[in-house]
Amino acid sequence: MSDKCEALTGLLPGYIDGELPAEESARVEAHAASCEICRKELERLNITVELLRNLPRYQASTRLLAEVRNEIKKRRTIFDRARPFLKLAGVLALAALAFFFLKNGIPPAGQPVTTQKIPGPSKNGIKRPALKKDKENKGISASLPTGWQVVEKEAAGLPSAGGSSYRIAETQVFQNAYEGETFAASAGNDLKNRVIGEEGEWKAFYASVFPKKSVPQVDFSGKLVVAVYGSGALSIISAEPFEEKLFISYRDTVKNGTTSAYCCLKVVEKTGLEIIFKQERK
Amino acid sequence: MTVKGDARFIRHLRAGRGKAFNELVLGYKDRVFNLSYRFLGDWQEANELAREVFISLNKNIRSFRVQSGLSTRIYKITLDMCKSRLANLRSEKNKITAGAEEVPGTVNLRVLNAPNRLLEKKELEMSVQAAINALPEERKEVLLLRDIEGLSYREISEILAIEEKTLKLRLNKARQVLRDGLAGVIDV
Repeated sequence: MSDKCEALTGLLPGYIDGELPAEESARVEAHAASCEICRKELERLNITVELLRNLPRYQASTRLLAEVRNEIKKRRTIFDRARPFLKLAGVLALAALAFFFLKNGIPPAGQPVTTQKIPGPSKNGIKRPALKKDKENKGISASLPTGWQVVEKEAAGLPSAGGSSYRIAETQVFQNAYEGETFAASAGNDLKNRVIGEEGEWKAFYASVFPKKSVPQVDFSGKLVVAVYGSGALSIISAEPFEEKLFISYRDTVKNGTTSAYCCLKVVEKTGLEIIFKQERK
Repeated sequence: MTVKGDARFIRHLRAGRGKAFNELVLGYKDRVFNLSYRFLGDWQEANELAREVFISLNKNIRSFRVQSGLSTRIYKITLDMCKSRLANLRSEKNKITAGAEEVPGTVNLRVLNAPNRLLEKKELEMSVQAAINALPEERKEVLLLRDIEGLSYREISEILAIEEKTLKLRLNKARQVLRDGLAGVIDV
């Protein structure tokens, strides 16, 4: 086989398939006419390709579609079967979420909100407060689902949480750690639950309870102090807004009998809401 | 190159419409089966493989891209599954091997190599099939797509993800090997 023959070999597939440009096709034909080896090679290849192209084309079984369908059905997993329902559930969940945000507003972007699930409703009839939309009370908690409350104060710049259930030990004002703890009330005190909203009143109250201690600072421009009286097992559970009122929930595990000679204090946000003291009972 | 190779048909498929899938199966089943049969050289295996191809298509239907041709994808899946099946069969040392002698339903070429022997049509087909079976997979797939399925160079390049130049070289070699394998049949 000459070099010319070698060079033409690469053109053969294109020639056989009729995909060579006319000029190159003419070259192949001219060479084949003068070279018997290449002519025979070309003829054999042509016959080979003809044999292939004339092979019978077979049809798949007429039952193939039914078999495929049956097999797909057999192999469906629980997830595959549940897919339409999952889709529907997803759509409904999104719709519910969209409805919630439309109704309650969207929390400020970039400000993480720390949440904690508060235990369910108490058994004494007070339902877990559901936050109402209130122009003056649009806080972080207003955009949280019912039953979820802000428990830690957010970074500066956020709107006031408006009396949401801050941790009892929220502030540093009570350096003596009396906030949230129960202490013996002075006999001279009026042993009624009370709200202290002014500095003068606070100083007088504190001095009557702890005459030898310095009075802790409270910023009464935005806060209030609530004082609850009861037994030595007294504790304040929460301060939560509900239907235009701020409920101070407290628990006193000792029933009747003992005197209300103990006091428990809590600093709450000044919201302008009416404050209601509610004793929870187990 | 597609049955209803428009974007709308693929969208219907992706949406999981049963009617569109039925059309897909009915439109491609013969091509898939024929290619599988010629690749594997076994009727029963080809039938099972065609079924698996459509089950696989159904499973992955949501990943279909409107931009890529449907037939390209189907041919590619078919060839991939054929190669995988052939490898399994070889490893099982069962039924089909690269050598024609062990392929059921094919004719041993050495028996048929007598020159000028007049072969019956079926015998001729069987000898061609045996020669195809003996081809390496790389050459076989090119040959089948071009000379059996009649696809263009461009379509084959897309399916096999190879350059057209490589495709022509493989095709030429495949035809030469086949020609040599059929030396006793082709009388020039």
